[in-house]
Amino acid sequence: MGPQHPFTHGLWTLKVKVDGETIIDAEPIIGYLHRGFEKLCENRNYPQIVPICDRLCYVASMSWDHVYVSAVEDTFDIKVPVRGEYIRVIALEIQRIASHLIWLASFMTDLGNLTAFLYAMREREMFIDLLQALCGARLTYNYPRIGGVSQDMPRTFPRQCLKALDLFEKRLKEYEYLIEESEVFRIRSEGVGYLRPSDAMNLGVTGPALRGSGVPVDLRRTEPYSAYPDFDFEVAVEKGCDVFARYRVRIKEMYESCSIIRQALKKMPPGPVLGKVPRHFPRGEGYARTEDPRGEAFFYIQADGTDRPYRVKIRSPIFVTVSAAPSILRGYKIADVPSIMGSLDMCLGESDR
Amino acid sequence: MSTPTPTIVASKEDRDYSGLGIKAERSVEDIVSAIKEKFPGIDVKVKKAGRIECSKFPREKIVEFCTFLRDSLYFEHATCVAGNDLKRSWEVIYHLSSYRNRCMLQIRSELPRDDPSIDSVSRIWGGADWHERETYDMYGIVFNNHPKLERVLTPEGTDFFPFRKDFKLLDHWKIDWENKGKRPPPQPMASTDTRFGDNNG
Amino acid sequence: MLNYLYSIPNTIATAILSVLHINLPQLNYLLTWVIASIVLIVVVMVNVIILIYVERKLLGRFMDRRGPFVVGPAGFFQNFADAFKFLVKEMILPENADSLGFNSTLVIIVASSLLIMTVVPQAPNFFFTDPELSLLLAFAIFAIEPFAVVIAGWASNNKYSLLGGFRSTAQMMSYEVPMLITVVSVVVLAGSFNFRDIVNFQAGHVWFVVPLIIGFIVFLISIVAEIERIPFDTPDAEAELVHGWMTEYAGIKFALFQLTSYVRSFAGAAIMVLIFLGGWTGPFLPPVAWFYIKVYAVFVLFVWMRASLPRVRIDQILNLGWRSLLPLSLVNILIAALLRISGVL
Repeated sequence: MGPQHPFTHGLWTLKVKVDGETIIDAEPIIGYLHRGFEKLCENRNYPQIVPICDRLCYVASMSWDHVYVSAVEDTFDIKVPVRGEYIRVIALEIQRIASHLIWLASFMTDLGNLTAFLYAMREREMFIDLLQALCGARLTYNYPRIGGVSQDMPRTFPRQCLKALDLFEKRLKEYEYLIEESEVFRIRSEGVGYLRPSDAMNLGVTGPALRGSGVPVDLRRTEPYSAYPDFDFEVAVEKGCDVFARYRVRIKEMYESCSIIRQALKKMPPGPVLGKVPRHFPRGEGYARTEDPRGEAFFYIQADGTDRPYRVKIRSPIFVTVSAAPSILRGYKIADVPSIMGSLDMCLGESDR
Repeated sequence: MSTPTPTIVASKEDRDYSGLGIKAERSVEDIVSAIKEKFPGIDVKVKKAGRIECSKFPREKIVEFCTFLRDSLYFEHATCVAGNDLKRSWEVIYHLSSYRNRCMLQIRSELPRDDPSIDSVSRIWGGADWHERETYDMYGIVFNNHPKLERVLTPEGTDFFPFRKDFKLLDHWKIDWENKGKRPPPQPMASTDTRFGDNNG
Repeated sequence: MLNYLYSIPNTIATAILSVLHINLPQLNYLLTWVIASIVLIVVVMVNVIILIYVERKLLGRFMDRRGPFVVGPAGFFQNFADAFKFLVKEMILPENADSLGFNSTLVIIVASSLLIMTVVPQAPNFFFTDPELSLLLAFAIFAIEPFAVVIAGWASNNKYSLLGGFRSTAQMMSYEVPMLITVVSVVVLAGSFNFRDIVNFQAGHVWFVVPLIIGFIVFLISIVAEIERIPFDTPDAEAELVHGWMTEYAGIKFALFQLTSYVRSFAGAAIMVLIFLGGWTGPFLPPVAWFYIKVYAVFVLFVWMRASLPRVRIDQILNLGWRSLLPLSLVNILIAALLRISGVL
């Protein structure tokens, strides 16, 4: 299946070996979108890398910007002002909701329900508008900077944000009703795509797919970064290990994100948003890992004393999750491929780099 | 007519993970001392909170060490395996993380320039499989005993390793302007054995 | 009673022949039927176009968008624009496809779907033919299409098409049985295989949806599966099979298939109205108006299902058909028999 097939969101191939309609073996083939990203970073200086990090994943640009700047801050011990961290958290959580909504849209299209697709896209619009109010861009934000964020949020932003969240939480309940109460959705998702918790951990699956298998690992909680220790939120875990559990985890995460944004807006401290950044970058190495909407995002940077990184390594959550796909797919029907792969939330920009 | 859907029940050996990651079970210092006890000659130290660094790791011991880390110290997750070209030598960087102990371990292992090979850890962590493939793909570092060491991001049959520091794009895809701008067929690198390459920087 | 679908073409034919000074009764007969066919096709196609428009508009409303609104008044002519677009597209014959099978299935599918409408009366005075066993004939014609679909899937020489064709057959096999058993229960009560008799019986007693509510539900699900709409559109499930057996068809062929699927929806809704919802009976309005009101109401139900349900997996569809609908339809026939024996109806 693929690379040009309606279920592949992005450009990738899934070689499926079937017996009748049952999958015996599968092999994902990626790399159609490989841009030599890490090599590209070696030829740009540190601030210049931020905008190209936007292009890593086109539905969660903000989180990739953030993980890059956190890695740089870790490498050179740059302090970020508290207000900057708070604004980053707000932006990240808005991005998480927007990304999960895109996932919901594409997942429901895979299952053949176009209504939920349009509903999710409509809600996403609100959050894209919020991000636009923050930084002026709608898809590739270039908002976090090394040492903070590029600009303070506008004065009207909290009100606009709260209004959107109120509306969204109300509508999210409607979608739960539309989607979960449907018997058809249940039989398509329950018991499909079983992923054992120990397998999930060993295969390096992270993010909602891991939490859907009952492993309560959320880097925002287990290895807190940015301003996350200040907030009170629940780690969304489901024990179903199937497609439905992954779906539930994402829905719960959207609620949690709403609550985090509310807390951040309430506790928002005054002060600058951009810290002091050294003119010259010393030798060193550092890394940062964050909870991307899709899993564990990781940036490793080796600095050799020039203004360009010597080596940049990006760990993309989807790159690893896709490699685990064969073990999830085995034994299911061809017709389950869209729902199982859809539940992993593919994003080829970041996995091919 | 139709075979029933596979309904797999969670096997009994699967533990309950619900308490995982709430609190670190062992401190970082504790882990470092445990490593030092088992592998005395290894340079391992705590870098900052929750981060252990392990540099100049001898490549022969990597599988033994990683098995120990997974089985005794609960490093359940291989975050990343990265290659690096140090011009005079090669380097493989492992980032391993433990959900149970809430910490991260970085291993840097240097490989000689003329023999970029190291044992594969993909039997220990399935998640390291594609990272190792990618490292081979980009740097030509060979992982012994890897189940399927093939190209993953570049197309099948690519005869160069694009992330090496001595790889120059224009050298490889040189355009022959005198010959009406036609591009010659891709030339293999100087060595016939493309898996290793002989460019010594 | 006067049948307009016969009398008007007959008048036209007689007029044409008298103008040409030809006095051949056989030619008159032939010309009458040709004109009647054309009238029927026009009626069906106009309805189909309205159906497509209704579906697009309604689906748009369900999805919180506007639907078509640019071409024509309130976007009514959007379908025509789409049809013209399909007309100017290239008709592709895949290199390794079997051209006979590939092209003949188009004719079979379109013709068989239109043929259903010839036995479906639309009002007591508006029908094409009225055979004694019109109900049985309608379902026999309904069942032709899946065979053509298998041929189409095979002839396209494409794995997705082939899978789609097989799925279509499997689905038809599993849904034909409960559907026909449900139909039999209607026949048991009405005592006739004729649509007009069934409608007349309902007019005299009660709509069959009331005593046979189980059968109505079974029939609704089965007919949606039969006309292959969401949630039972697995033969052309775009997420896994690209477009199922229609994958290789391009241009006007594809447009015709799409049109045909709406003809089948129309026919399905019409049959459902006739055997369960009292056909054209109703107060005040003329029979044709009632018939169309009911047909469109049923079609809106189809659209509603499409808007709110995801697609069912093929093996689940078969499970549902054999394990749930078949027993239910048997229960339904039992109820019908009891009602008949006890003399309630």
